[in-house]
This record gives sequence, structure tokens and C-alpha cells, in this order.
Amino acid sequence: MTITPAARERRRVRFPLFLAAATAWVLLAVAPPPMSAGKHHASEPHDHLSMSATVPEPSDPTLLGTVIHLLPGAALMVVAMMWPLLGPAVGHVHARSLARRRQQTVASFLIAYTLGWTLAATVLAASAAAATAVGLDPGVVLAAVLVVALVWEVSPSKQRCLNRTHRHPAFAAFGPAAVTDVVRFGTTHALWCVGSCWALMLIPFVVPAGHLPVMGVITLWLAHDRFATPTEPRWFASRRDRPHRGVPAPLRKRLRATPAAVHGRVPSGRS
Amino acid sequence: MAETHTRRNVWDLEDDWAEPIYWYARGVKAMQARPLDDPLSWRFYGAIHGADRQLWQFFGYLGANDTWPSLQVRNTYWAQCQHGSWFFLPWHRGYLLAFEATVRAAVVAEGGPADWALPYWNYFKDGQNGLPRAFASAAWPDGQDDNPLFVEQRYGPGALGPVFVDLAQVDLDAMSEPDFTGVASGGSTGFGGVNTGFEHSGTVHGGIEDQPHDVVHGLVGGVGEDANGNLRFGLMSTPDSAGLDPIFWLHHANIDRLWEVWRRHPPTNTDPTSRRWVDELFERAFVMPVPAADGQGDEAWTYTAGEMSDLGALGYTYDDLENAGDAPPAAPDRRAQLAGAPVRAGQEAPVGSSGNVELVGANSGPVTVGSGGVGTDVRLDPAPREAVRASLDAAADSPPDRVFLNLENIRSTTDGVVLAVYVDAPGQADGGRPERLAGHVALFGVRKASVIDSELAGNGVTKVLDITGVVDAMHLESTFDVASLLVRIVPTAPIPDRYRVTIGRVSVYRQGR
Repeated sequence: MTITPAARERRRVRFPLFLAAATAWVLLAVAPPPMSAGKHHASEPHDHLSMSATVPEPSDPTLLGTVIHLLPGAALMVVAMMWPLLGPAVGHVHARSLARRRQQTVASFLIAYTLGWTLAATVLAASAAAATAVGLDPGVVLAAVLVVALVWEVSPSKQRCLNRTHRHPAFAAFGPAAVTDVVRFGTTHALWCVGSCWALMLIPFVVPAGHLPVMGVITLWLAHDRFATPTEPRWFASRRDRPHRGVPAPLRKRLRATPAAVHGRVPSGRS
Repeated sequence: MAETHTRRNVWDLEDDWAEPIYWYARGVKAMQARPLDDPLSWRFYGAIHGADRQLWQFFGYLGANDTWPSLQVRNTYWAQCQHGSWFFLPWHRGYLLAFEATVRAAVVAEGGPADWALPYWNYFKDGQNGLPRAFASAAWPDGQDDNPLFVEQRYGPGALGPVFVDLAQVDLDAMSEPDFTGVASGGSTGFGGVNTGFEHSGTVHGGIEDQPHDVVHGLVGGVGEDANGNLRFGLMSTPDSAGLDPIFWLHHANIDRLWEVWRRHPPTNTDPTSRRWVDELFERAFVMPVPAADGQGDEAWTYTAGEMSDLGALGYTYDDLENAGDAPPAAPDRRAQLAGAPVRAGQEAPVGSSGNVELVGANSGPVTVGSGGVGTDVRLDPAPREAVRASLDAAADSPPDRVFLNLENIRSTTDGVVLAVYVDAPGQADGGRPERLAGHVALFGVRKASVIDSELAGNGVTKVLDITGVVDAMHLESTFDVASLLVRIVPTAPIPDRYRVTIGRVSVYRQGR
């Protein structure tokens, strides 16, 4: 058994992305950055990224100050959760660039994508912080976010955004356009990613504890979503069109086998 | 061991209505009489390949009284065909086997032979590129005018002209591909296609899928405007209706036959051994409705790609597995030509799909193809162009690079278009010498692939043409050392103004060491 050339190419692209994501996960675990503008108390548990005792408060309480305060954590979160999903897009940039410019174009794409997403994640974090700041009960906030996430997940709008994350445009090979085109691609890719994932990404900012496990589960869910084939936007589109997607293979086999299903006997049509 | 069925060349049968054809027509008629939601009906089988309500209504294949099957049935069986995937060949082999069994059961029920087998259409054989006559007339041999093999919606290669396979537009170049599977990154897409999961509509087609498969679909189905300015395209022009045309099955039997010819010539050509190809279980199974073993109704038959490799085990063969067209596939003598000397011993293997793939150059942006065609300059980057040239110079010592032209992100609002592609050094074609033909591409499935909320997210399709021969010829004439190549893309039949084709980028890739 040998690995196919296409699979080898995919691995070559994915490996550095996975490595960067793994590094981000380790950093999030051992040195959690500020993820919330809320108040911090030394007595609160350390697995709580947003309330970690080691996290300083923003020195500048203005909106801009809060955003700057949250940016590093949001960027780390994006690298950890989103970069593993970028294999097809980065592979596209890599394959369609001149070899001598690949590092430049791939880096430009990743920077544009990560900046776009980080800004959005910062807004999500600030929104979550604002909800707490105005005195809303954290349990109510969490319940509201879960409901919104659930509804968004099965909505046609979410499917529309998800479909657009599969867009792989042509871009220039030469000159400044080779970079500006991939920056545009990275930005729009981030935009559709945010559109697709924003509701789920709100959850880690509002859970009271267990942030890392929650982020892990959400990352797996996003991967399951992202690598599915695009489909017509409508309510419950993914579940309707691919009912067995994500189901483990042995169970899938049982689920779809009708009582009359046969395997192995070649049909002859001569009863 | 069960009896082995032999599929025979439709043009080599005793006459136009020889038994295999006559009984095929009877079987088709019986299947067509069944309702849409009967899994053994003609339209259900067409829908396994692909179905689209609007399109079927447009073609008159869906009436007000038809029952559209449940979502569960559609999710299990319909829109299952594998395109732009290394499952293209094995999935269609299973599809043909199940279809053949279903027709055979109908034939037997009608009093026909129990050893009936599906004929194939080898349009490459001398004098056999015309539509077989039983398919070209509405009349049965006895003069009755409801022959089910006749389909009005076939418009041919000349924009609503006679229906035939124009041999100037098809080729068997894929038979020389050394590897079954290829890459989607600009180099060879292999003989059988690119490593994918369950892929109903992939972006990049494999070698045999592009040529002759896609092009024959386009040439038989065709596209054009009638006298009233209405768009006409054939059932064969688009995947969502192709399975409704009875000639579809004879065309695919030939593609299936070519797979086995490739495997034998030379015997070093082998199917993938990756577990993902052999027996991977995806979220959707390859599953067909077939006549139940007890003769009552239907049952589901599932299969994997690996189970489709061995014709002997599958119980059928073809009357000709030696010749792809008229003659055995020719062994390429490329390196001897380039080197002007014998190839060094131990270095004979050509560059396969595993070679390094690198962009050599690209044009400056999207182009639109109208009826008059379009020309675009593909600028070449000096370093990779020099790498190609150096590899061609050293052809005696090591396998030289292969070169591929990519037409990226092709989008259109209609299928059925066939494009001729020419590559040359700028100014070279004006000296009375004919342009260098790179090949033909057919836009089979491009209409749906251009829709943003479709499986291809509006990316369109990307066509990969092997232009190694063109580059070799330019190299031998010392005309490859240029800053750019002129690529001209011309539709082989007029495209109605409303239905222009756009190409996102035209690029050149090298594949080698």
C-alpha cells in the first residue's frame, strides 16, 4: 500500500498548520492570555481563561484599549482552532503560486486570514464581556448563546456562509497582484468563516469553566462541518443531505443497510 | 462459477437491429414503462447519476403525476455518480453492472435471451464514429415509431447538426498515463483521477474522464440555438440528465472497456492499492437497486472500488481488450526523439504523477470565451522554464519534465460546450504553419459547478491538458525559449451570446524532478 501523490501533497500542507495549531493549544494551556475584559480575582480557578488570576486587567478601559487587551488571546485562539481547517485553502494558494513566491503568498494569506478572524474574535470576546459587565446573569448569557448557536447552526444563512468557505479563486502569479489577490482571498475566506462559525465561537467566551475542552469539542465540530461538501442552503441542510456524516463507519454501515441489502454478490438479473 | 457475459462492439454486430440491440430496446421500453419511484425504472436509474427537477421538466421527463421519491431514498440512491475523482471508473463500473442486470431481467421477462449483455460504442474504430443507426431513428425495424433508443435531445458537434463523434476532437492520450491516480495541483491528473472521498462533482477530472469521456458527452449532447433563439442542449451534455439517454450506457461501456485495456497495456499499469480506494466506507455508500434474487421487486447492492477491479470476478468481458481504438495503444517514443539517441538503461520510466509539480507561468487574469474564441499570453517565469528546458536537453539521461496547461475555474451557464485549445510561441502561427493543437476540453457539468450554492461552491471546473508534445516540438525547433506562450481557446461550435464561458486563469505547470 502506498500513499498517493495527492495525499502526500495534502499532508505536506497540513503538517505545518497542525504544528502551529498544536503550539497555540499548548500556549493556551500553560500561559493563558487575556480573553475577557472582565474583573479578575486570584481565588478563581485557573482553567478559566477569561478569569485567570494571572491575567492583568486592561490598562486602558476604553473600547480600543479593551480590544488591544484581548487581541493576543483571540489570535492564539484562531490559530489553535482555525488553522487546522485551512488545509484546502492553503493548499490552493501553495499550488497556484510560483515556487519562488510560495512562502510569500502563503504567509500573506495566513496573515490576512488570521487578522480578519482575530478582529472578529475580539469583538465576540468584548461582546461576552459586555454582557457580564451590564450585570446579566452568566447562566442566562450561556443559555442564550447556546440557543443562538443551535439556531444558527441549522439555518440556511450559516450554510450559505459555509458554502463560500469552499471558494478557491484564481489569482495572479506575477507582480504585486500575486500578493494582493491572496490577501483578498485570505480576508474573504476569514469573513465567510466568521459568518459560518461566530455563534459556536461565542461559547468559549461565556462558559464558566472548562474552556479548553469546550474549545476542543468546538474545533472538532467545525472540522466536521468544514470538510463536508457544500449543499443547498435551507434549514437543517447538512443533516438532511448527509444523515450519516460524522457517524462512525461500523454504525454507519448498520444504519444505511436496508434489510434487503446485499454486498459481494454481483447482480446478474437472471432470477 | 457463473457464466461470463461478453459485451460486444455495437458496430460489429450482424446488423443495425441485431439481437443485443433489439433486446436492449425492449428492455429499455419495459423500464421506461415503470413509474419514477420504482427503483428499477428508467428514470430512477437516470437519477442515480444525477437529477434536477427543473432540468427534467425542461426536457419533458417529469410530469405532474410523477412521485418524486422520499428524501431518504434520494439520499441513498440518487445523485451518486463519481466525477472529478479516482472513483469515477469503479463507481461507473458498478453502475453499469447493476443497470445491465436490470435490463437483462426485463429482457428475460419479455422472452429474450438470458445471456443478454450491454453492447459498447467504440467511436475510435474506423468508420464507427457515427451514432449507431438503431439510436438515430424513431422507427423500430417493423416501422413502428416509438423506438425508445431514439432521443430527440441530441444535438451533435455542429450546434444542432448531425450526431456523431468528431474524431478530430477526441483522443486516447490518457491511455499513455503511467499512473492511475494523479494530483489536483496542476500536474497530471492520472489515468483514473485524483484521490478524493465520495465526490459527486470534483473540480479536476482524471485523464480518461476528460478525454474521451467528457468530450463524447459534449459532442453527442451538443449545444446551440434553434431558429427561434431558444437554447438547446442534449441529455448527454449534462450529468443530471445524461443517464436518461440510452446511448449513455454504450458510451460508458466503452470507457469501462478502456480501463481494462489500460490495465493490460502495459501490464505494469495497476489500480490503486491504497485502502482509501480499495475498501473505504464513506458517509454515502456506492449502492444500486438491482432485481431481487428471488425475482420479486428489487434489493440494494453495495460495492467498493476495490471489488470492481477484476472483470473475471465480476462475470463479464469485452470482445476486444487489445485495442483502445483501431490498434493497440502505442508506446511513447518521446525520449528517443528528444535525445536523438537511445535512453540510458535503467532510466526508461517516464515521469508519473509522483513528480514534483511547479507553476511555470500564468496569464494576467480572467478571459471570456465567445464564439470567435480568445487568445491570451501566458507569461513564463524564467527559472522554471529553464528547468523544463534543461530536463529536455538531458532526456537521454533522466526522464524529462512533462508540461501541463491548466484552464482554471472555468464557469459557464450552459453545458455541452467543447473548446479547442492551441498553444504556440507568439507570432509563430502566422507563418503558414498550422497552430499547435494542445487538445480539446468539454464543459461537462460546468453549469452546476458554476453555481455558488452547489457542491463545487461556484468554483467551476479546472481542465488540465498535457502539452508535453507541444513543448517538445517547440524545444526541438528552439522556439520554447520565450518569455510567454500564446494560448488560443476556441469553441468548436458557436456559443450563443448569452452563454459565454469564463476562465479564471490560464497557467502552465511542469512536473518532474
